[in-house]
Amino acid sequence: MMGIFKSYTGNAILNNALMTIEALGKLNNVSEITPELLRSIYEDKDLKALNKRLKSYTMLFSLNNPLVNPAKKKDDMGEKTYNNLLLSILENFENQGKHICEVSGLSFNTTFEDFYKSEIDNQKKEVKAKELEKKEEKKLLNALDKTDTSLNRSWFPLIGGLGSDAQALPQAKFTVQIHPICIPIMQFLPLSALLYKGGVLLIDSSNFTFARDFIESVNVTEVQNRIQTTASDKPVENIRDFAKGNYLLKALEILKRQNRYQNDFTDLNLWSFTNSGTGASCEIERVPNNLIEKLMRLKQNPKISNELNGYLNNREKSYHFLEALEYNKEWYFLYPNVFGSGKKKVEHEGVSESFFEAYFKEIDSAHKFEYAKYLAFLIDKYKTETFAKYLEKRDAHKEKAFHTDLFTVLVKATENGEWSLEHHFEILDNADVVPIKNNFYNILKITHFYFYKKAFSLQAPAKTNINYESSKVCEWLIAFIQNDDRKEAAVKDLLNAQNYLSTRYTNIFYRASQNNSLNLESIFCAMFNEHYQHATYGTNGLLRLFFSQPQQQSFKIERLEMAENWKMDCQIEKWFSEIREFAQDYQAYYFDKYGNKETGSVPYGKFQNLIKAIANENSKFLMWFYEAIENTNAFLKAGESKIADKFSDALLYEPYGEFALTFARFAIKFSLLKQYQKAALENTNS
Amino acid sequence: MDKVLEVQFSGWTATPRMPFILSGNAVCMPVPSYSLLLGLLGCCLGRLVKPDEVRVGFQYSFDTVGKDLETRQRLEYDGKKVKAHSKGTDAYVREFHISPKLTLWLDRTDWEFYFLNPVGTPSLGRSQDLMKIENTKQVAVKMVEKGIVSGCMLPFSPNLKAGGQLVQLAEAYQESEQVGGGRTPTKTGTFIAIPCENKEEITTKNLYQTITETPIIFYLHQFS
Repeated sequence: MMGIFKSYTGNAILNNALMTIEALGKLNNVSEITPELLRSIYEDKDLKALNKRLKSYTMLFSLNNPLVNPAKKKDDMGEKTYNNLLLSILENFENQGKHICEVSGLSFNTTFEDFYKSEIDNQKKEVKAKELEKKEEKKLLNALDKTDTSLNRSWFPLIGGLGSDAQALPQAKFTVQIHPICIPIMQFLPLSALLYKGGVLLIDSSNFTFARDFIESVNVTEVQNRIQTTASDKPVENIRDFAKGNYLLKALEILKRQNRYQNDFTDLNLWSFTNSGTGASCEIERVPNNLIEKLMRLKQNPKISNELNGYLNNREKSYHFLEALEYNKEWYFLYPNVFGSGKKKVEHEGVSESFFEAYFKEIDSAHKFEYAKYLAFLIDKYKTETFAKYLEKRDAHKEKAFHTDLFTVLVKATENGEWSLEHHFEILDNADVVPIKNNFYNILKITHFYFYKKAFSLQAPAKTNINYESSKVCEWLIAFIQNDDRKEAAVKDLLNAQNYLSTRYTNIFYRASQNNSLNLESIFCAMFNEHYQHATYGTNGLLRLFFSQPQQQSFKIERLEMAENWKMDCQIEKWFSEIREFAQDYQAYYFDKYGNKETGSVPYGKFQNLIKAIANENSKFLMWFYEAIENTNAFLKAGESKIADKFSDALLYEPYGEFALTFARFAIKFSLLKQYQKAALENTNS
Repeated sequence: MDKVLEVQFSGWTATPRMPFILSGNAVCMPVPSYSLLLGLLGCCLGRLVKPDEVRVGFQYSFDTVGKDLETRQRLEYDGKKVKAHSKGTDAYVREFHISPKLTLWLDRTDWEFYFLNPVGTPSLGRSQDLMKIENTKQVAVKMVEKGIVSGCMLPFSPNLKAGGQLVQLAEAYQESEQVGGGRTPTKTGTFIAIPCENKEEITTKNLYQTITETPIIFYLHQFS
């Protein structure tokens, strides 16, 4: 017997049909499919009758196929055409010829059109032999002459066509060249047709063994069961019982059964298509190998295997679960939650702890479960009454106050030596952002998850020695506070639960201005935001924790090591230079005006007092500032009225033109103090 | 061979169509076919490029898949001539790739001039899927036995451990000399279209590695 194929093709539709035949014929290899075998199964299964009953048939071959075409029901003409055509193709199989099949690569001479025309000729002869009335005979012959004998989508799904059912063709008047044997082969496809997303499912994978097993154990088995449980005079309904999760679960079972998954690469493409009428469509959903690998690892975990089955078998949950797992996102059903409201309210308990941790491991998330479990313990120990009120709710993590309430818990824990600034760096959303942000929103949901599940860790995780940018800033600032004359006042402010957020460090910086390791650039980067406003909320929170610690490390004043991403815009650098230049020129003016010209003495003390007296209040500061630039400009011009003013209120505007009084005031006063220190030092040295 | 011509293309959209999906909506393959690339080369050279003239390697990537709803001008063949369909036009959904990037490696370094001064405007798929030639240069290469190959199309055999989309297609077409005579496939075979995000190590023939700062491994296809 002559085998038709040596191996599968690259056409998913044809491959699925071949795999269906293999399953029906209980074959070991695709090469065992012969025209004789096809005929044998065709007759054993009574495929002609069965396809008429299967509702998936019209989705695959449309109503224009003669088997189901309503216009060809009379005298079972369509059915006869169908039967004769298929048998004729099977009896006259050829594997050599001038034509090459575009979907299978087989060679042939006699085209499908030739077979079809020959069948029509036979039917015409039969009509003539009947000796009907001339009018009737002519009518029948005319109808036969009009038969569209081209190979179109009513024989091979989605292949397009000519004539009244015209679809797009790559070469206008030429249909796709397909070996006629593919047509009877395709007729077996309805026997494995399950529905997926409203279309017929095709299992397409480069792992042929897997695809073949899938079609045999799932598709063909399900369709056979449906046929057997349907009365023989009734149509066989489509099987639409499964969603993506169900199919993937079955795929996992097959891969496990094959027990050779580790060596294989299994990308799976799930086709969903319909060839029916004007609604013909096709969609291919890719299930990449890495998603299958993730699912396999979850499935192999005995603690969560059943739970995974539940999620994959749940239509509502599985779609989003698979999407989240594939793209390494958090799945919203992981957490306890409440969905909807009123009668549609659904309360969800969240997944198990084991599943939760296994899932996060799969999506490569850097969540710190040990920290979350320890935070859950601290919440349980130190929660306030108001915090406790909503903590037991499934969606407590949505409460706006959760972040603040947890911070209050952390302060209490810090006071008792159970939390510290070093621990706190580990839970920040971004410990490398400067100015510091005391945000730990990422860990809130997980912390609540463990609190809700009462899964606590009683020991704080070991501290890491990572030198975060925020830790550098904290140590740098703590050193200035620890060495400041008014340290107690600053610490008192920071420990005040009501006011700690409004603590400012400008006076500490003024007092420390004589220190060479302190400069305007560091202060700007660490303490001001891009709008030149104080950005100390985050820093204050972290310093509150530090000064709440029973044990506090002492830090030495050092230059703040600037991270590469803190590099300042050259326009800002220019602005800072102009401010420094103003400080220098103002000092020159001041010493010139108030110095004793006879003795040559310089009024250092008076100058220092003047700087200290520069008001923080806007209106008073501006009065001093305008007077200062006027005097300085006049001094620099030395009576020359034609020379333009060197300084103006442009000093109060940041490089992009925004009024930045808060920062400009600080920068001017700080630069004047620096200028004073420099002059005093020069005087001492001279 | 120790040197190839590297040509980098980029565009806003591309439509490497899945063959034989002609009814209903159009779907895309993850990468273009070799016959499509021969057409692209022919466009730049201003003539038909035959498959025995060149060996082609490529790497293709795109950002995401979009969908257009387009009007289709339906045609009807009545056995004598092709004419507009009596039922008029219809609308259908077309998939297309957004922000495609294509790098070609050709063993014809003498063709560099045509990519610096292309005769036609290259497109990948539909006429509106225009491609811009970003860069053209000659690069040194060496042959390797295995490597991570992605965003390309390999002749498929069951021994090839690679994930992707299997496709049956003609690697090139022979144009008929007769006007309106159509074209015939020169050879059809099974290929695996490996999406750019698949990063698996593959062992196969005709793998080359560029000798550059960031070496890339590619498969150089020999047309049969």
